[in-house]
Amino acid sequence: MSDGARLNDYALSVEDVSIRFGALQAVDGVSLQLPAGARHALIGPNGAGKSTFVGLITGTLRPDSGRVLLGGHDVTRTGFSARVRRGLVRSFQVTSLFAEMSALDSVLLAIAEREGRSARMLRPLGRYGAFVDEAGEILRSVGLIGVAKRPVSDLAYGQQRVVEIALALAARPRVLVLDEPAAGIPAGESTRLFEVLEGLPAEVALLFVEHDMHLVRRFARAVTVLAGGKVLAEGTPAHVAADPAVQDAYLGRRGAGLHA
Amino acid sequence: MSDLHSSISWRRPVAEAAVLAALAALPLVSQDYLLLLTQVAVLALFTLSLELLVGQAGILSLGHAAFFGIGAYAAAFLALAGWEEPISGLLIAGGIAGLAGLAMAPLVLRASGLTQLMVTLCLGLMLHEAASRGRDWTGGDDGLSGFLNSPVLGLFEFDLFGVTGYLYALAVLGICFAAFTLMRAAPFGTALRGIRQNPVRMAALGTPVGARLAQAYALSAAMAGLAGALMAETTQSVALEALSFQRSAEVLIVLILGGVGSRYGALIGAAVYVLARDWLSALSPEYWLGWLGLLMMAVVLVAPRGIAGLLARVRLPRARAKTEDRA
Amino acid sequence: MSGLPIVLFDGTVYGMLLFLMSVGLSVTLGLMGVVNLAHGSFAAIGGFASVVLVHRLGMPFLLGVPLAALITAAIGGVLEAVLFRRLYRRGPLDQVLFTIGMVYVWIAVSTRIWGAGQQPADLPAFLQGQIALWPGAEVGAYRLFLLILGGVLAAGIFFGLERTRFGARVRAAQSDRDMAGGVGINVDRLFLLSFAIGAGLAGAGGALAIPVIGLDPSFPLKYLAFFLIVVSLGGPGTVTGSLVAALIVGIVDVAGKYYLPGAGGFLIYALVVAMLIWRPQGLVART
Repeated sequence: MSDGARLNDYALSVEDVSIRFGALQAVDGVSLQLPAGARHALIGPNGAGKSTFVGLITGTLRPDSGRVLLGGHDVTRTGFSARVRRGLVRSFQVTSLFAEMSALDSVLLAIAEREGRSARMLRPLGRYGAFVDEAGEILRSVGLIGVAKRPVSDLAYGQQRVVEIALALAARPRVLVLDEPAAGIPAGESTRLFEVLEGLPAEVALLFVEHDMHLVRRFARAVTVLAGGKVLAEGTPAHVAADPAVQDAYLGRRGAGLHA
Repeated sequence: MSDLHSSISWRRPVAEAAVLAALAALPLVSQDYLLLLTQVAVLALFTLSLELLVGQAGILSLGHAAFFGIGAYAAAFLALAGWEEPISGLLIAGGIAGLAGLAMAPLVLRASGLTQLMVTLCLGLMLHEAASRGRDWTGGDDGLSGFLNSPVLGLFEFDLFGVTGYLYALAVLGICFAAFTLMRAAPFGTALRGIRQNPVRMAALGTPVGARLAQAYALSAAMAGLAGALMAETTQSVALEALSFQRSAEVLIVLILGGVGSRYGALIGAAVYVLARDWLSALSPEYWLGWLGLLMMAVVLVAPRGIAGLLARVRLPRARAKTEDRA
Repeated sequence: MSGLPIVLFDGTVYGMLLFLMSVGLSVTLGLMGVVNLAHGSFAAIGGFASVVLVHRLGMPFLLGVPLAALITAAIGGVLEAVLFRRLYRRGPLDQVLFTIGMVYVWIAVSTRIWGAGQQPADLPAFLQGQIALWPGAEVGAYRLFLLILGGVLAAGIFFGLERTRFGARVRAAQSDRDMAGGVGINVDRLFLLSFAIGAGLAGAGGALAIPVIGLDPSFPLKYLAFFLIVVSLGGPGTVTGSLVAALIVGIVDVAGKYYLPGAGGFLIYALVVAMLIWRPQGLVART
């Protein structure tokens, strides 16, 4: 393979991507590199192009120009679910689950999919012993073991957000993209959620879109600020917080967050 | 609670095998209802194929008779051409219907909702028109008849009383029901239900959603083809009606009547439908369809999840705790 | 007159009839979200009512047909209040089972009353025979009448939806039912009225269609596929879409029977599949 991955490749490398919707240049020449083990936050005011950028990374959108590389492989033309099979996994901003299924079955399904067994027709899913063991471990680690067999639609919203994370973990991601993982859950519970994320394997590269600057300062080691579809600033949380351009464009509207 | 491994339960398979054995022993007692029960078996198999599509994968169809008809005509062509061995004929016919399903899947899966329903409807109508015009091949409105199959397994000749036909149909239905049950609990069936509930989420798990649905479509088409071939072999004839819109609507009605998404819905629906039709048409030969219509309306008002759903509610008032059967 | 002009003329007339019989279905689907497979029964009710009024009671045609449409509208309104209302929050599968059940009941009832055969069509003398549009171009007087009447009714529907307060409310409820209720629109009454009007139009279509396509108790089932094709091809909830789709279906069907009699309905179904794949949302997407 001529485009074979090299050891020092980034887990995820986005090179100069742009996309335009009609008259709107939604993302304009953005680059982003995530090494293995990254804990990277993506912030920016509403309409900054964060969701579009996530779409370009995960493959629901195709850029007009630029490249997306996953572990050194060019995946710019690769579809959404094919990128998942290459280790790029995302969660959803609005909870997106299988309402009639239990958390256990949902996680089992994710594991079966990862192992390429989802087209098997003869053995019940619940009797793949190794899968059940692994699903049990994941559900225990996120604190859902007690409700594992209840239909997801019966769970509280905060718990559903955690099922969302459990599904992402079951795919054993190399790069995990979380779109506002704490959206809609009370502050106390979001800390719990980020504790789960802290327990992620060290080599997983994590990119999360987040509004809550407390959480960003606690968990991110690097921050990219988007505004108007462009990178406004990049660096450590403290560095970014001190950037006057960021304060102008971002804090004008969003108040105290960065100074806290 | 914390033990997540499902234990093997033999109670249900044993009960199901007992029912099957009792049905198989029926000809020893009476041969009066064998032709009727053979119809039930054929319709149950056809309905089961639609349950795979609608209840599991969430693909709507108003043209499923296309595959039933392809299977029926394929079996008839084979027998007329001298290939009279029934089991291989059945399998070949089912395979042909499955291939037809695979060919049509891209057209059907491009659409969703009402559009999908209409694509299946029009594809079915196209096939019906083609068969109706291709008189030289299909016999047009007269259909095909006058073919014979050799004895099943070389031993059991298709007899006038329909004993062999009945047992043969029962065996095919039993095997297909077992296969469907396995498929339903296996990763494949779970993935189909996942796609029905949330296709975007399934794609986010890495599932090739389009390919999975195409497989389900082809499997369902093959099973419908088996049902059609079974009808052709047990009645020794095929009518153009096998491909008709009415046949497509009927099987959808039977499925909803029995209960979509339930394991026994297709079987219950087929039995109730055929027996009710027989009873009502004896009672009121001209207007039985109207009584059937009243039954259908009543089911919607009284039992929103079909007869199987109604039975489950009667049997398990605390059904909320049991989630396995809902999945 | 023969050849292409007559194909276009007959096709347009047929399309107008299809439009009248399906436009109510399009509105109920777009507005209430109900897959009403029994909609063709309203066309049949209108047809039978006009047969009773005109043929049995000897009422003048031009009085009997509108009265038949009014009767159908009244029956539609009652059925909406008693039965259809229960279906709005149900899934499409329940709606299919229920409305097909209604068709079966209707077929049995109408067979019991009127018998299974074709119904007679009485036309007044001035609508019989041929009329010369210009020398050499003769068309059936009744078809010409249908063409003009269909055009007037279609214009009336557009006017009613676009220019009246009632139409504005229908459009508001179509785009957001809850919000329409929130701004003080009586959604229940709106549904009742639009359902009744849709049924009445279908009744008029059914009554007018007897001399062209006939009428017997199985009519609602026989033409069900055509109504569904018109609605899905046009896009549910759009009157313009229904009109365009009905005209296309009418003209292509007549042209197919004229030029390719061996292909039967094959042509029209193939066309529909191709068009649905080309534009899954219908020809006129609702905004």
